[in-house]
Amino acid sequence: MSVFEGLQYQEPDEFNDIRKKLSEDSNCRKIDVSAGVYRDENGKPYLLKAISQAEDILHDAKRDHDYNFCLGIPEFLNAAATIALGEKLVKEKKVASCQTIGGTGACHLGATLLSSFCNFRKFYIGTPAWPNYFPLIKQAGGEVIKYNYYNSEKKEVDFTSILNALESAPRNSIFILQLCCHNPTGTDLSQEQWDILTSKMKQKEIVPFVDGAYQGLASGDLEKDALPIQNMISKDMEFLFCQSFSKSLGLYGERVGCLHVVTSDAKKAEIVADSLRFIFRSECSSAPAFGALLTSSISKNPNLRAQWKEDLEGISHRLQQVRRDVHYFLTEKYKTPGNWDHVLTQKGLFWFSGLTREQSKTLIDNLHVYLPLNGRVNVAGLNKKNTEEFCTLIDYVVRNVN
Amino acid sequence: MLARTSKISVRRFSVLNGSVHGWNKIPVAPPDKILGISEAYTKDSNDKKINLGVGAYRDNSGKPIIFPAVKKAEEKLFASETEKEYTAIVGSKKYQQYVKDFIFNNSGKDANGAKLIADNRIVTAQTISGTGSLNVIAEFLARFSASKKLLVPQPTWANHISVFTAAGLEASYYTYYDTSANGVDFAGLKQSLESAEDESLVLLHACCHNPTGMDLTPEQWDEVLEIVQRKRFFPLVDMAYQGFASGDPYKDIGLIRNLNERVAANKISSYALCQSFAKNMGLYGERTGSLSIVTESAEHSVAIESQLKKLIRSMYSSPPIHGSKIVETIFGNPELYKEWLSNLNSVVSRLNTVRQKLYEKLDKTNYNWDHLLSQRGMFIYTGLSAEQVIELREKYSIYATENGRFSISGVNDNNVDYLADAINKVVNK
Ligand SMILES: Cc1ncc(COP(=O)(O)O)c(C=O)c1O
Ligand SMILES: Cc1ncc(COP(=O)(O)O)c(C=O)c1O
Repeated sequence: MSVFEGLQYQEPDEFNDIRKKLSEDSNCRKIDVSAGVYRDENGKPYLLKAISQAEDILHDAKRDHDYNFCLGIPEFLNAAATIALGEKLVKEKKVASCQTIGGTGACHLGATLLSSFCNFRKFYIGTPAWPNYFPLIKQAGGEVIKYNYYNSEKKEVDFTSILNALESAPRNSIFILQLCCHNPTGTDLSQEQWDILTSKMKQKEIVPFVDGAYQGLASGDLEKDALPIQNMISKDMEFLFCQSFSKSLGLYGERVGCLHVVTSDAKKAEIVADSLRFIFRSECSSAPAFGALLTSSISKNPNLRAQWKEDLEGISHRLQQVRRDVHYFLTEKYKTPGNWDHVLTQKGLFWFSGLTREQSKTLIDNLHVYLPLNGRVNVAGLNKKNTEEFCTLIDYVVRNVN
Repeated sequence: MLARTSKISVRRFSVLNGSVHGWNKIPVAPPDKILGISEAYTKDSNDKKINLGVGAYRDNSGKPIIFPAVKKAEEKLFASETEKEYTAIVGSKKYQQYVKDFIFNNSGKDANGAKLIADNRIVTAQTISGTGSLNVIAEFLARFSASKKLLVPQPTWANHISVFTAAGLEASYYTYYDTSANGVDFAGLKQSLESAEDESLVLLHACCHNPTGMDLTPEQWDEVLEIVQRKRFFPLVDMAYQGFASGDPYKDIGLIRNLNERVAANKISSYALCQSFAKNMGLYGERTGSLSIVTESAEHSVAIESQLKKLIRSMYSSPPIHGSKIVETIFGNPELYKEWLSNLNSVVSRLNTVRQKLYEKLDKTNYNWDHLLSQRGMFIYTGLSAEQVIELREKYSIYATENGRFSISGVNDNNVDYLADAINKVVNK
């Protein structure tokens, strides 16, 4: 007999293949703009200063490794909710929070809560999107409805399409929206657009499901990036917020995230928290402690918070500088055909370059530049040493490949 | 997760809050028993109070410990770590290799396991400790196993049923324990396995059965595996307490070696193992464990690994690195490794000493306490009734779950007399 009769090979993962090629490329001038992680000016992984300092503190504190509550470490939950939602809401206890396995775990838990426990199953996702949403929603028992998020000709948010999707969505549908630094387009909604959207969602009883994976990386300021959240809070809306400290604290592999469910009153928050506990108990028992402790020790220590602020500003400034450099080389120096202003207006790690599949393929196959085939460039992979060369290669494919 | 609504909200919860809008529709989940006990314990002002509810080790003064070897590994890590990049979806190759070698090759002592590793017939993934491992295999089996019927021992770890039913499997009990005799009901066990549907999935506790602490003897395992083999069951082994039965992790995996032998002889085609470093390295809160699937062929391994990756990617992307780096540091350093084995051994000897002490102080005139000495691991399955447990709680501030399971690690030199005295009073009433 075979237990695994239903098993088949999976479709090959294009992105994985590109990463594999990258690791096998021995050319010392190869340029990696593929993965969604930050790199410093030397092209190296970057440990935030705030994290190194928090580790010293934690190390001296002689902590143990005991079990934690299903919902997470209380101090962490409080810190995380305050960073995402602000003090006022947390004091009013109108939020149910559960520590999760990174932002992915938060999305998974939120989707499970909605589809399996509330029977809200229709998830609207604007495309292009973070590719993991689709299997994630399906795995949690939801149904995906796609609409167009991005106008690739105008290189801006396709707001009409979003409004149409909203108009046609039945009550109790869910809209997954990225808070900032949209993956993969780098193109965010303006505050005015958020305001229009949230009013409509409230009126139509549609649940906002906000993914804040990149909070802090757009402006370098956590609070400023969270303005759309405050907008919903001011409208007394119920919503979900999926938080991740992977990027904002560079804690990637430590898997630090949190799901916050904002409810209209404290009693409901209590019931939701109880359901989250129930789900999480059977999936993980509890989320890993170490990264969460680093996060809460930064949050409660004014010096470390100041350091974190400085780290984030540093990251955001560097990303903006790289964008200015790319813009300068393409427009002023090499006069590459086309309009490249979107490299400046897009936010965060990603520049949705507009390069065609063929152009991206040429970069990967012949020119030692690695990026996903949708033309998404992680500008953190660029620095003073390689930006100009990178731009000459872009210039080459734009002129010679269709 | 797919079938969760029908399985859980309909079958389990009859009370739904009326309103149709928003979160009101969520049923209140049943309270977590163990957590409730800890809360009540914390609130109790009696200075003689004892918490026997926790499943984590405490030293002779009632404090959590860090294994000295783990502490040293963590120090090395602090000094050397320069980045926190994501690890692979199924954890690092190094971690997988150490786990495989430790468990299946039994570090050189299991030739059958070694061959399975060499033939690429074992797929290992780092998971969110033991619970996460059970969750991943449950989701996996719910998708790909021809049978959705899972047999679990009666009684079993409180969380098993929820993990499996949440994934859409149907769990039912096989006989394991005879409460009147305070021992394994082996005849009943065999009979209930015999009468189960062929090709079912069967959950086996590798050692230190939770909650009874009563394990099968090697001969009994042989008989059970004969049935498993004949009825073409898929064995799913849960190993949360490796090392706690004998004090030596290599001695506690007789079941794995037996399975490997049968796989080598083509009598069992494949099985799965959920393993945790929570207890035996004291890494509880760091959530470090693994799932291994022994497959039919190297080709099968490729397909299975690709499906595991797909599943894990959509649940949590990748596992946490702090605990796994500690594990890698310990396994990668022969001295730390030796020290860890000796740390583990002294933890287990304290539990055994306390077990013996308590046994000596218990009054055996009206109650036979001999089962205490045959039980292994962190728990004493007393056989006391729920009423007696409640009386212990209300009169003596002794907190334990109502199934009569006492966590030995809550007992120490300072409270063993008080505990024995209270139990004697309750039993002799
Ligand atoms: C849009 C988006 N959401 C969520 C995540 C999840 O992040 P993590 O699980 O690593 O915290 C990512 C990570 O790349 C992302 O890009
Ligand atoms: C039988 C059994 N399996 C699995 C687990 C899971 O433990 P963890 O998720 O902490 O590794 C436990 C923990 O108490 C257990 O007793």
